[in-house]
Amino acid sequence: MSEKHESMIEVTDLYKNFGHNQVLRGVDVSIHSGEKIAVIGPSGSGKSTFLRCLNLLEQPTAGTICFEGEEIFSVPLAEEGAKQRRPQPIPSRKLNAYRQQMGMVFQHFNLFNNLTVLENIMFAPIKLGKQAMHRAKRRQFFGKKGEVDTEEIKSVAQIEKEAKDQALSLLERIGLADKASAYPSTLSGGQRQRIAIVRALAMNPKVMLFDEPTSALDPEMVGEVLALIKELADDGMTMVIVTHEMGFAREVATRVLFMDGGKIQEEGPPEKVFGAPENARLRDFLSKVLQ
Amino acid sequence: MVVPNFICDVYLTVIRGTPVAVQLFIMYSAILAIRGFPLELTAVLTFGINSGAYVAESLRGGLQSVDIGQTEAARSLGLGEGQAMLHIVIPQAIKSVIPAIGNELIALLKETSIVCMLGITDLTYAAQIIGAGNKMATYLAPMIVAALFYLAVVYLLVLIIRFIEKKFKQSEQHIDEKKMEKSRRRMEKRLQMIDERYEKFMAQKET
Ligand SMILES: Nc1ncnc2c1ncn2[C@@H]1O[C@H](COP(=O)(O)OP(=O)(O)OP(=O)(O)O)[C@@H](O)[C@H]1O
Ligand SMILES: [Mg+2]
Repeated sequence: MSEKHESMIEVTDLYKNFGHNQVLRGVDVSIHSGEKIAVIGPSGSGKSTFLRCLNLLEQPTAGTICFEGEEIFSVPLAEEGAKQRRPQPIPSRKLNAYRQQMGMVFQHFNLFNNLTVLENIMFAPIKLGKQAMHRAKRRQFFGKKGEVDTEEIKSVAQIEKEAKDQALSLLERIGLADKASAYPSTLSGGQRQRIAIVRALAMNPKVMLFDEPTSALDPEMVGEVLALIKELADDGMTMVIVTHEMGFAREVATRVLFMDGGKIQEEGPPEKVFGAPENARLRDFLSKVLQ
Repeated sequence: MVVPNFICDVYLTVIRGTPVAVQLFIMYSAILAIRGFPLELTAVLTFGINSGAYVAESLRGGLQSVDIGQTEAARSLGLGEGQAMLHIVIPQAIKSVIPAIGNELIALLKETSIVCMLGITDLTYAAQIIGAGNKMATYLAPMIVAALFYLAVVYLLVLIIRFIEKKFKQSEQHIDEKKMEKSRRRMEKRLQMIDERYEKFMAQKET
């Protein structure tokens, strides 16, 4: 990791309460481009909540999230005893632009049930491509004189063609081209999760977030999904993976975070976290999961 | 959002908490008691407002029945709230809402027979007029005819509702060969269209 690049995602002092339930109590992480971060920890420790706060599916109570130097979310924590200020909603355009750069893979796949496999993959790129085109056109039309708009505006034909070609090649890559016109309900869990992964990839995200991508799968399907994630990792994708698959975390991760009680208790390269854990709770956790 | 929510709450509670006959009479005797206001319009408005409350409730149920994960997946790709709603949630909600809305439609059709309260001559009232006499038995024949009319219309509605329900069931669990083939052909057509449009665009660009 070269320190001259500032980190891709910088999370400082992240807090999240659900009512009186304090789930995250000050999480600090900086994620650099190309890193593969595995998040481990006991159930209920706030791993999913952390991941969901990262792409703001869950609005944090306090803290700062910066993406490539741009501040996406920032709310100071209230003083002890004072009432926590309710965060302002983030402008939807900024929020959506931010999320487009972050792929998210869910435990339960969440493929769109009303769309075929191919439509699942093409839907967002086409919709958002057209939206960007209309915005660019409007900017060009209403733009101030002298302000030259150099960006080439794609036509609908180009947007659709690109989305189609990409979707087909992604399906080809995971060996499911013959399922293009099938509906998600007719597929196995492993197939669904691999499609969910390429659906996220179709937006060309800069980072991928995985929330226990294999926990809802039958054992015989875990391998195919992990293999795909490993392939992405080898291609250099930046990723954050919440997982209970310790073997996988050890093999793929460049850094492992151990969360417990809403905080990161220990972090480091997998050899250190698994080989020479310092934190007592981590030792306890590892002894349980590794029998 | 507090004020619109409150208004909707009041609307749903009042409309669903009072009999439609009472609503009809209040509309007729108080709210729309305007000289020369057509009675039919009073009836249409009352039943519209009444039915709206029940349909709204079914729609809410339908929208809530769609897994929140569907919305989250859409939002996580960068789609807006409206886009997720329009293209992902609503199409799935419609499927589960059609039977309830169909039932409401059928109930509404039969409920309209109470407009005789206002002296509007509908099917039921007409049968009553025809059957009027000094023996109760004279009502029988016209009422049976009226019942058959209702039955015929309701049956037609049932057929239409079933047809629509079937249309929306394409992504159901068990898809047979024929449906799969259809879905495949639809996709190929779409992809071909994309290619053709693109070629046309490129040809245009060159000239
Ligand atoms: N939407 C929510 N509303 C209220 N409480 C929530 C919500 N989501 C999570 N929680 C609470 O936050 C705590 C942490 O949940 P989280 O899902 O982040 O844990 P986790 O580490 O992912 O656990 P697991 O390994 O079981 O997935 C739990 O106590 C849970 O009850
Ligand atoms: Mg979780």
